[in-house]
Amino acid sequence: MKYSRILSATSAVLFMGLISVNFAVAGGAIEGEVEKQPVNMAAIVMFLLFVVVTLGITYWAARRTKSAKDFYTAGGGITGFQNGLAIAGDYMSAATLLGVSGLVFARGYDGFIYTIGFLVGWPIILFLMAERLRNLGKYTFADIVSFRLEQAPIRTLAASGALAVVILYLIAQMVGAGKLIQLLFGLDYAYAVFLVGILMMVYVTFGGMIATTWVQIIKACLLLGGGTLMALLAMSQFGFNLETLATKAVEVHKDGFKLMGPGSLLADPISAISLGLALMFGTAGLPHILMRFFTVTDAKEARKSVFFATGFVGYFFMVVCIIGLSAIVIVGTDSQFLTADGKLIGGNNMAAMHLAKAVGGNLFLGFISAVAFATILAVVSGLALAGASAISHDLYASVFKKGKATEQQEIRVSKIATLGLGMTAIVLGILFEEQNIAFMVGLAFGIAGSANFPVLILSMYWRGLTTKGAFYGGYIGLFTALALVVLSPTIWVSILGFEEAIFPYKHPALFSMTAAFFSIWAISKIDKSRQAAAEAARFDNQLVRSQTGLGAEGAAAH
Amino acid sequence: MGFAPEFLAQPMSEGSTLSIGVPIGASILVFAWVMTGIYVRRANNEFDPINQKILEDAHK
Repeated sequence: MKYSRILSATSAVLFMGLISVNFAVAGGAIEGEVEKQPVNMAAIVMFLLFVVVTLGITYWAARRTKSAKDFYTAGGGITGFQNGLAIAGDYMSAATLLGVSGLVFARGYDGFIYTIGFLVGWPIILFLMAERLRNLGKYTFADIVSFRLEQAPIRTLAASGALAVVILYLIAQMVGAGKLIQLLFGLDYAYAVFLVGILMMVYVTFGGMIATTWVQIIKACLLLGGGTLMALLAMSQFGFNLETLATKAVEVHKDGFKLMGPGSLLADPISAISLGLALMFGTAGLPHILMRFFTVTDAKEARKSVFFATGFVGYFFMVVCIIGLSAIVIVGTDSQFLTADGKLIGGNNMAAMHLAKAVGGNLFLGFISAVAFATILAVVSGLALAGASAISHDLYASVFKKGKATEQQEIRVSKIATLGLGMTAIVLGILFEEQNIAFMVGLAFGIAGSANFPVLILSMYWRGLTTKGAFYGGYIGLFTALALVVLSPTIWVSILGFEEAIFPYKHPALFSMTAAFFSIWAISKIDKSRQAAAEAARFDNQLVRSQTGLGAEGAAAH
Repeated sequence: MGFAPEFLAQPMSEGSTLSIGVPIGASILVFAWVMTGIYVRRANNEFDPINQKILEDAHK
């Protein structure tokens, strides 16, 4: 049955593409094999339209991208509102739409709690960071970490953290995108991966940050619009009355009234805390999110962008919860969406897709599929740009050329790096086709939270941080996260096939972050060298700049 | 949620299905957003001018 295959593959895609939700929902999202499909015309037409529009934007952006500043940070001229949308776009993947609605579909109120925890955590983190990031940074977060520390080792560390995150995340997205296109277009997996890789390279090499940001903004609007429309269509069946909807949902759901109260989602406290840490602090260490704060005009706009992003994401979460709840009634009782034993075809994460079909027919399903794909394209572009700037700005210009590279050379290297990353992503995407890659996004968050975040936050807030402390501590965090994931049930048991995992928890953040913070602290304390003293002395300078914006990068005049 | 699950699961009123947790949850979301807004307004309209003044004084 063609429809169900599209759905099961889409679910596979989004399952891998998305962060949080897969962590929370224990497995079982991918059911059914992924196969080449005859076409869903509506989805293809809408997707092609998206590609044409974004290529147009890339053309426009390419003509405005002249300096390195234009390339890395869109000339620093993005407004708080636009940046808020773009950041929200980075958070709201199609998988949030599908994953959270699936969670609400399966567990009711638990899914809602999940979104609350996520949303309340991150503005706090961002406020600790947004303003100082904007005031201290130029193109990459390594600029901030190396502000008063020794350039070469610190930039190498920051770039390896950034690249590790970017590559892991890219693989997950590429494999997901490949499977999705394969299904929607009836293309071979390999061609599909090539298509995504090439589109990504085109956006980034020609359009730089300007194109990347606008692609993300358009996608955020599509996703907000599509989600809202779906929620409205669904609610119209209940007379726009939440109470009616809830009553019906409780009637038909197997958990009955328990649906409306907290359940067992956070039953294991260690896993829950670890997951929470990875989500909150990992996000604050993701290079493609951090770089968005360099694109705004000043600290004022950086703050505003957090405000808008929080609003959009919060609104989107509520919409998604309504979608999930409506799906319980509309989809959960409709036999065309259920397997013989009463389970949802394609798994719970498909609840929103089924709902799209139920309330809007094939056309609307096609639209939502196209949006899902657009999301992946927007995210891989951001990732590629973040990776390319780590290579060109940090490794090439600052470490290899010791700050003596010209702007032209630096841009050229970052374009070559984008092509290199695109190629790598294509090759790895093809190699990993048959692999279970669900752990990769989790690992990316673990590394971001255990290597990038501790070094970044301590460099801004702790005078005593030294080069040695940051360097060794950062690598300890990175490798602890890596080792713990390998030893955890996700790889040790599921992939390597051992009987029992050496490390019993799925999420390493609680342990690897502690290891990172502790070793950075301990090594910095032991370090009594003259260099360490000089670095501490430069803290005042940095503090003034981070707080006041004195000497911060301005917007390019256009 | 870990502390008083029964409280959150109470019905909002007699004969209602929505639990009290739903409006509470929704208000936490809205509250977080409003607090963000208040901070941004104050920072941009009050603190930044003060900051600017300090910078100007320092340059004299």
